[in-house]
Amino acid sequence: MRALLLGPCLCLLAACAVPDSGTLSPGTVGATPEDTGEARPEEPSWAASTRADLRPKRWRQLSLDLQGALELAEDDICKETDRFQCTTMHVVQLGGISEDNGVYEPQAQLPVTAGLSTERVVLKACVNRLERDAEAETPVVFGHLEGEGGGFESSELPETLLEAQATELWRRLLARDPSPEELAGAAELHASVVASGGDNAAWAAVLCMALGTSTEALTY
Amino acid sequence: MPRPLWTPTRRRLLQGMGLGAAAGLGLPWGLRRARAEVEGPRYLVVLGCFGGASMVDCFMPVDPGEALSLEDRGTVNSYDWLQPEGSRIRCVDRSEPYAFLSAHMDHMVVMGTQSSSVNHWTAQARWMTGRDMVSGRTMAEIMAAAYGGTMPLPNVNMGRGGYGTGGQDPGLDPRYVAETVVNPVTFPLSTHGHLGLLPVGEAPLYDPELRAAFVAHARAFRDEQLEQQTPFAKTFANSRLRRTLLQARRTTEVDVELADLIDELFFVPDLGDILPLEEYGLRGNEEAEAIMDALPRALPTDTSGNAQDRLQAQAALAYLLIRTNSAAAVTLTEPGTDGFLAFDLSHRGHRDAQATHWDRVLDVADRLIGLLATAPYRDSEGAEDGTSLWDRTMIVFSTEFGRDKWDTGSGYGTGHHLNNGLLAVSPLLRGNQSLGLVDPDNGFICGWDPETGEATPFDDLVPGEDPLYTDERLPPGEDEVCGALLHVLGVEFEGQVTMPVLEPEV
Repeated sequence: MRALLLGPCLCLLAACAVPDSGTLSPGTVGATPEDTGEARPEEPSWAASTRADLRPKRWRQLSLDLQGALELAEDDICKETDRFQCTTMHVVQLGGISEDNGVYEPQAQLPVTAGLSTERVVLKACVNRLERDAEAETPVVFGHLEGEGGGFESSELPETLLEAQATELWRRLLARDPSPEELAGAAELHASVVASGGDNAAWAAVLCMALGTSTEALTY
Repeated sequence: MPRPLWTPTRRRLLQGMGLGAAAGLGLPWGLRRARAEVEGPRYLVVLGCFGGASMVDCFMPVDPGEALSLEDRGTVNSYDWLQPEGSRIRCVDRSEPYAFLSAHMDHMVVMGTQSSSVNHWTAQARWMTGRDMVSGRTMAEIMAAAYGGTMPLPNVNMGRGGYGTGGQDPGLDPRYVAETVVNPVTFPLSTHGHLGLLPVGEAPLYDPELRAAFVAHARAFRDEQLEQQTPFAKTFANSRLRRTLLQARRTTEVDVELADLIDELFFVPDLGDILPLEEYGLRGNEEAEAIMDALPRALPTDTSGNAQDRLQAQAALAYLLIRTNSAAAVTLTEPGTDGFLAFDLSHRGHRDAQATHWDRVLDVADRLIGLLATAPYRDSEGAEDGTSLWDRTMIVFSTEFGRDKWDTGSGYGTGHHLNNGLLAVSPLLRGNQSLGLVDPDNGFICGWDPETGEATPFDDLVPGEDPLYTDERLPPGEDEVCGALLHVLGVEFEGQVTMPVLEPEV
């Protein structure tokens, strides 16, 4: 019983649990109640937490989240110029310490560049997964882009594939399904990226970054 | 009975002056900028001399002919000394201090100081905060708040230990919190969310300009939709952390990216396999070659990305932070040739450690001054006014604390001591002054009159007798010295002690 109760809690804390891959095949992921004929439950009202005692995920939690969500090894998360481990180079910005440089305690307040460094790490991890999936026979995360009518380098992406890919990222990075409004926002982002000269790969990468750097993903 | 200089009466008087001054401007916590005769920003460089840089081992030497010898204590630490023509400061007979003094005497003030702790971290932190002179803020935070309002990284700290510790004021605007830099060579990569992240290629994601547009769209989606409408956003709308993160995205992060610091702060050129800037769409700073000429050991020579000499690398980044008007305060720390102990190697061999590390910090400071002195100050519209960046900068050699005063012979080591001195170098100071005298009978440096600079020697002590720590003739402590130096930099605050003898003569 305790395990049953703790399981979902831990999942929410981690916000990155990798869903059962058997539920993620294109065409089934992203199925909404409307698709299945079910009545959509009424949107609950959300009361603001009075404590709201959020804590930042530091570099190791961030790295572990990305390793789980994107199924990457620790060394494959992010290297600057393919040489320097991001979690070492940006460690203080990501809330860590650096014994070699005499920084023995995390900074009490967020450094000015904390958000920018976090974006670099997450975007690089997303691109690393994307590059591997583009070469793989069985893509792990971004396979929905390759469905019929799509393609990594194409700017066309049927709605079902777009929603499936978006849902895959929501589940992996935020451990929940996207709302219809969020899916609509993801579609708008696709249109914006394409209008700016991008393709499906570019859209998927920056959507991955947007989710992975949301405060929902970066705090607990 | 010597005249007391640091009395409550005098302090109250100065506090009153500070209160009156603070009322004139609405800056937080009573801080205000003073002295409008020099327009524009001033810059503070704190050079943390980790481990206790002893002033009697550099710019306040005791003459060997005057040093007291006692059978049970040894001889008061003394040196043959030199004094360049025109200098009121003298230095130990060694080439580096002599060269520094000869070059910068007109901008140098050497003064006796009395630390309040001989614990490394505590002493360092107290010299950063001036022992809580302004709500626990560090000098760097105070400078950032006074001059860094429009700067993208107003307070950059490359220090460690107590020099790397921020202040204790929870009310400090987050913009002025120190940006901690552990590797000055690669730090610029932390200043942009996506530029230089991927090698330049033909696919849209690998085109830096296109990627900038994609990321901008994604950020807008994240910040304007996800962060506003999700259940998480609504549930944690009142989270202070979340508000801080979102505020930074709208303000400081935008400023940092727009300032193009990822290129402007790269003081190394493209280094091929070691650091391939061009391959990743970065150009680096156009002054990189000149900076490398001045600070050649700031360059990394292997794929670790670490400079050969971390102190030179810190100085190189400090120069660019000031030259690009990105920071009002930069803190450096002598990392030591061993990477850690620096001046504290005096435990094992006092004179060698002091010589090695004084030479290092003076050499690097001289190189930094050279760069700043040849860089014209430009206002926000790019117009020059005939002054250099050095004309607006002060380097404070923060010496932590002193070392034991007695030479016990044969490669002796020393412990920590509260009595010491501090070196400040700036064209903003009334330079060429040595404030306080070393007593050759005990090695203590005495205080001085803050108005006239007249020393207050320990002339009634028995040879070999140390002054009591309550002796009013001892030199000033952290709050008096740091407050007075900030006043020279044009910052006034409630409770500030000033030292007119440091101010330029009108």
